[in-house]
Amino acid sequence: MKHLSSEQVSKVAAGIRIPEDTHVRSCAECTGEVERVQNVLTLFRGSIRTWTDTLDHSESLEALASRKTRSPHRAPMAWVLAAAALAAAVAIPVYQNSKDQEVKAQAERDAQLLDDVNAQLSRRGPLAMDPLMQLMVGPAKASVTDPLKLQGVEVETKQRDGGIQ
Amino acid sequence: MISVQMDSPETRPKISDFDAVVRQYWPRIFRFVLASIRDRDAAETLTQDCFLRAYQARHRFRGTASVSTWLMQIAINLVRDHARSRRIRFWQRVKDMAVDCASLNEGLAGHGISPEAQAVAKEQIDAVWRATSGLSERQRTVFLLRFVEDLDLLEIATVMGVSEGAVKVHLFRAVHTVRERMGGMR
Repeated sequence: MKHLSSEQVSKVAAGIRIPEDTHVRSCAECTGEVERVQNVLTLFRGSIRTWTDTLDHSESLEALASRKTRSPHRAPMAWVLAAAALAAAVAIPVYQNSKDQEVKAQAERDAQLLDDVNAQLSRRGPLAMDPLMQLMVGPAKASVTDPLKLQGVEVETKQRDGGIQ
Repeated sequence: MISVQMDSPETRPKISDFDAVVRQYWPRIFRFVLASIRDRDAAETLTQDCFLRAYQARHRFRGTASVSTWLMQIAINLVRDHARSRRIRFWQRVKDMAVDCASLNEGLAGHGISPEAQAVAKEQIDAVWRATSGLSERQRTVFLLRFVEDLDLLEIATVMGVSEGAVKVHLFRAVHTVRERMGGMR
């Protein structure tokens, strides 16, 4: 009769089925070897259980209750994401609007600066002499000296010459 | 002291009654953690951590697995993290083991066992206890779940998130190693 190998005994003792299971039932020697191992393991389990069952966990349970109370209530992730989306939906247009206004204001300031530059370039005499110039050229020519009226011509000239980009 | 209750479907508490869950499963989780890390204070803390995590995540518990399986999964992860983060090899600390073995063997007294039989049993328990120290983390976990917590192979596979075949391999190696360390193997 061929007995179980050491590996097969370990498998049977572990509760793993093997093809030689029928042999274990009919062989006293192999059954004895398997039972010896299983008895030790049962003893091991019993000793751990007996020991741990006698331990007092009241302090740990009190600590757990305290930690549970202190534990912050976590908002479900869906609510957190919804709040973030809402904040973004409000903040982005406000930011965009403020940015647009800033760009618009800057464009207006640039245009004003350009107008001032053109006015200075188109002036035929010092600023203090403007009233006198107007008297000399008369109402018909006054429009020519008007810086605002000359603005388009001056800018066009400068751009052609590469002076103003 | 918490009394150990049977984990039958009739006595299983609902997750909504979390205090009942703690009462029911604390001994089991603590026992597994203690046998795994062999440090009572750390085991108490990790058991607390396990139930605290479960409490915080109780709304996400879908009930596809049992509460005990779910708790055991958390406990296994905590034990693994504990061993890794602190890099403690409890298994190699013979001094501490000796203390734990003494505590373990206290349970043998007063069971109507003769002093001679007690001595033999003590020796065998010590041998198993020491032998588990030489197992890999997975082998030890499988071994403890099978022989201390009485889980079957499929339950162990579920709890550990591995196949039943993998459980068999780990379990066979663990038992074989323990037998070798116990001596008297034919």
